[in-house]
Amino acid sequence: MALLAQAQAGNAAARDILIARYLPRLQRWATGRLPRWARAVSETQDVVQETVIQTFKRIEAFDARGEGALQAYLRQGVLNRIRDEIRKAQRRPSLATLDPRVAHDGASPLEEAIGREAVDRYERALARMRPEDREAIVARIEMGCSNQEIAAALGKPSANAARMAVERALVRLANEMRKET
Amino acid sequence: MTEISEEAPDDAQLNAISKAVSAGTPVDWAAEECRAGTAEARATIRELRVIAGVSALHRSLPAIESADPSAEGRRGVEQGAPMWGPLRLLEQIGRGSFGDVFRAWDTRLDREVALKLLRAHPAGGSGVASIVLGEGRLLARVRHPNVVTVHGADCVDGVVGLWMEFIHGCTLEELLLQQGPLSAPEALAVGLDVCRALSVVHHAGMLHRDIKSQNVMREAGGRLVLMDFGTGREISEGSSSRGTEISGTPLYLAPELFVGRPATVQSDLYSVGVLLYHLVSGSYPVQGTSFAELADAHARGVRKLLRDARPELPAAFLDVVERALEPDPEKRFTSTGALERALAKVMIGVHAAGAHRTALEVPSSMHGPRWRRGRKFKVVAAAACIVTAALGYAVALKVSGTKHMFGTAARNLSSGPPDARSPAPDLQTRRIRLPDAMYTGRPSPDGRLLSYVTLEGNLALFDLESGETRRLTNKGDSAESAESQMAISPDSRWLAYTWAALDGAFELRVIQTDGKSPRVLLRRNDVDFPMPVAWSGDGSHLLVVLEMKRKDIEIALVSLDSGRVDVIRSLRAPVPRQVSLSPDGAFVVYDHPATAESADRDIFIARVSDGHEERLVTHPANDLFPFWSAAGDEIIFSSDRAGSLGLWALPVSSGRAAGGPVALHRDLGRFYPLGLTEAGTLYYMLQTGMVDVYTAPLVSPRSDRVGIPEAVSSTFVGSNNSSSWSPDARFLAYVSVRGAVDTDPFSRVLAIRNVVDGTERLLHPPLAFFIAPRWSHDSRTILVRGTDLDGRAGSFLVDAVTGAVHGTMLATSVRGQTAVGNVAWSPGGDRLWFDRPGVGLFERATVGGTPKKILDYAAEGLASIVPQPEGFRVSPNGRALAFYGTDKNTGPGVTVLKVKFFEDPSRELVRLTRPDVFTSLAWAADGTGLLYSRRANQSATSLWWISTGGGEPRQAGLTLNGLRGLDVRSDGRALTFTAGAPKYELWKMDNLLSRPPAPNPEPQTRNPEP
Repeated sequence: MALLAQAQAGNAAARDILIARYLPRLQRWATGRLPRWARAVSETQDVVQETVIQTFKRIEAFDARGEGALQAYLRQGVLNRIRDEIRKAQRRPSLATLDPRVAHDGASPLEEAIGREAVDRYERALARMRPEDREAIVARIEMGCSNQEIAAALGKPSANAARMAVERALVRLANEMRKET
Repeated sequence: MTEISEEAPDDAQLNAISKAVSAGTPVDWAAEECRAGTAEARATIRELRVIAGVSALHRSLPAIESADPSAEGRRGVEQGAPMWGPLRLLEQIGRGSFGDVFRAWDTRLDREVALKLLRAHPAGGSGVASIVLGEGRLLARVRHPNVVTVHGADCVDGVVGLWMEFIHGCTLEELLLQQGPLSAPEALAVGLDVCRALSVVHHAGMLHRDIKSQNVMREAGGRLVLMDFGTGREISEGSSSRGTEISGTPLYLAPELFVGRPATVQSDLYSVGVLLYHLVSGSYPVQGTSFAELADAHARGVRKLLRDARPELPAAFLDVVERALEPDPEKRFTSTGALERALAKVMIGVHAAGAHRTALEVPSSMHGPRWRRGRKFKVVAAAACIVTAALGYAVALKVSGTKHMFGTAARNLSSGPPDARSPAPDLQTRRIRLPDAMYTGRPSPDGRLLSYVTLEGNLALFDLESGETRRLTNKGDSAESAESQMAISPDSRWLAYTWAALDGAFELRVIQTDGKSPRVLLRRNDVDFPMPVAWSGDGSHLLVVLEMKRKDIEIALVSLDSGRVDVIRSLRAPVPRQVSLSPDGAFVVYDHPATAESADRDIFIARVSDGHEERLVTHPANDLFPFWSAAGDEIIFSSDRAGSLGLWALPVSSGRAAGGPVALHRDLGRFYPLGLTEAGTLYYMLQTGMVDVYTAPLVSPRSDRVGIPEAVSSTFVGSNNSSSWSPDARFLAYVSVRGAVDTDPFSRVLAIRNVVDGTERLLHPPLAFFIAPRWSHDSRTILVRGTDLDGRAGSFLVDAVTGAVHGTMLATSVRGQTAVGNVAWSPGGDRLWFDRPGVGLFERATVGGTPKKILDYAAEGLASIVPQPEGFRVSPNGRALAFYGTDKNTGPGVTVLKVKFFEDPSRELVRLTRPDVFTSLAWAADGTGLLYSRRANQSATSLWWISTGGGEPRQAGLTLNGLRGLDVRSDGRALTFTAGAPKYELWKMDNLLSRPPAPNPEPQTRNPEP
């Protein structure tokens, strides 16, 4: 929180630290989100980097709820950007899509793992969650943050409190997803 | 949103599964489903399984291989380009009588250079070849920021070449052509720098012999560089015998050279006189189209005095130029130093007069060509004064209502004489307390409403009179949100705004100010970000700026009825800070950098009917944020031409300037105008508080007591940070933020201050953002942390002379893995040390090479530590590393300061728990102790010292708001640091358009001819 506030107050060092903190995590995360053929069209990591940098350019205006919110916000920004890239790529077929080895491979690793419908259901339910729940889930499930990190990012008093918040949020998310089926 | 019922029988089971999913431990899904008591619980378990799948996938994502730093270090290499020795020719940039000039890449040192190649082969060592080789030999003796740095001269495969630093900028001749004649203060600044450069040349025993506007370059940031010594000769080398050879440009030649007398220091000074004459007038004292005509004119004494060409210039300036142009060399100045002193005296006179009369046109101080310097700011105050000032603007507010800005207050505290630049008494400013807002929009034309975006991302209105707020949208928890750009219609009934839709697209929308009837006005695939900026007077059209996907910018009108888009003008990036529509709808004005490389903007005007564009305000300073007055007879804009950012008014008529700009307020601080109402009230955001770099003596042998600090920079007060000493203690490098908006690319300069003589030169590394300069041991290279122009974060090696970047270590590889954490110079200062958090410390060459692990974090028990960039320092003797950071093994909110001597286990010295945090770290010069800054709450940060052997830390006698960026000088006798923190406030300024007429024409606009 202090770091985010510093970054928002124009402290470049703080902004730098935040970028260094979130960029690798988001880049790793994004590899699970982009279909393989789309990755051939546009370097995922460049997209992520660009989006993160763009977001940080406007960080002084960001809702100051804390780093948990920032992480969720960055994730949403990257996701939007990736969708954008996919749409773009679909409009103009590239050589990569004509390659028989990759032509069938339109799903992202995540969709391959759990199915497109499930991913969509998960995504939609996540969007309907309370921000604190969403932030906790994104941090733990998608970004692989430790409970200590989540406590720091969400302002929980202890790692144990953060762990419980995540677990309760997961049940709520599952219930929310269930309503769609 | 579904809340699970307290009584649900399956609670315990679901919680247990959730716990396993969160922890990533295996779950027997089939068994769990069987155990579930209800169908609902079973369905929920299936969804938990989906979530577990998401989690497992993310955990399984491959670690991505790290970057190849050597490939990244070798930027700019273009395969297939011709080579000359180790230099790769990239493009031809000039053609001279003797040879061609190329932009080239030095493949050995990985830097950009300018290469001059002789066209003819030096058959039998002809004169031309020896001249070029001689030029290099001579110039190698000269080292001065205002003299081009020559790297070497050689003969490769029979082709003679000379390579030197590549200057990104334009010649003074080009500047003159673009912007018209200079004002006296600008010419004085040029003259002073040329004299300084020439002094060094003369001191080295040489003459330049070809001073002319084409041979002086102005770097993008203002550094002047004297170039091209192709005709330079040693003074002592038989001047009389060689004097009959005439070289140089005839228009600049002293009369005695036409009659065969030798070139002397005085003939160089004559050329400086011609240069100054030419810069302020555009013409020459003696005219002629051929050598013979010129010789004849000189012989007959036909010359035009500068007083006749530009009689309005200060008399003292005219006197100095005329004396330099005396036909009799005996009557000219006796030395370059004498001319420099005379120019300096004129400059003081112009400054003094300016305080009463025409200060607005003074862009420069005594010390150089930095076209946008402010006044001298001398800190004579004691530390207590600085502390008081740094504690915030609240103190200043109590002192006086008009001294609303901390910077102003600080200057008045310390600079003695009253501020001649305080606002006119009828310009009343007042602070307005704004609700918590993510973005602030523009005020309505009637000045009653201000739009803003709430922290949740909803659109809202703030009643500027009653203080009431009204939320217009209700996005709930969805990811859509209102964006930063908004405009209220003239009748205050509609609000246009940008909306981030759920699918990530940005839409241009309008909504009634009572929250009814929102609709999408524009949504296009080729538009990245639409920005409403103003409504036409009748409310029928919306003026918009469209950031296009293909990266350019369109200024357009959108019809509210049909949604039809009429493009007025296309621009390259960046986006104008402000676009304003004239009240009659016939013109738009906007600010835009004149060139792609410039951080400084000019004001442009374009006709709505056909897009015809002209530059309305041209000045080397930054002119931006133009607003049309309601009457359409004035454009109010912001400019830093007086040294600080102020407000100016330009009378206009029929789309043309009807006079020069008039200063309304010369020092408003760092402000960001939001809009001008019809009644002439300007609303603006003000950045208060200032950030500056200081030096302070260390008054005890162990570096544990600090003396009275002094601000380093006398200019651009309040916008400097990140200072560090060169190893020889002669220079201080720091970052100065010069742009009005510090997110602008090129708004940051790397200032290199010579602490011995107080001179300063500015480097413009091609980076979007950078901080924390660190010198190599030979003081030739500076390591900075930042982002490049492509937005990639990392560490970069900057040439301390040219500002070129010749080494890059990205924080993440192209494929995303953290390649490099913190980077520092190796103890020898010739290699780099960097770490990967959790992995170890590595060493590699500055360019290329394979990293070698020198410390294994896991083996040292340091794997859980994430060192923070500001707290990663190698000890002076290179045998220890000190760092602070978070430790995964401690609870949240804890940071630890550790020291690791390579032969010993690491030792924890200090542990802080939030809100206390470390903000920076430095080694004492003798390596026995560490200085660190520790923030106890949002404002007070104290300096502490601790022995590396452990023991109790103790305070070192310095507490400042925002203290950070510590660096100890190599002799251990001085400390440099950054202090201060910015804040943002909403302010209004009334009566901007109902002021008494102020004369003060400003000469540096279009058509500045007398």
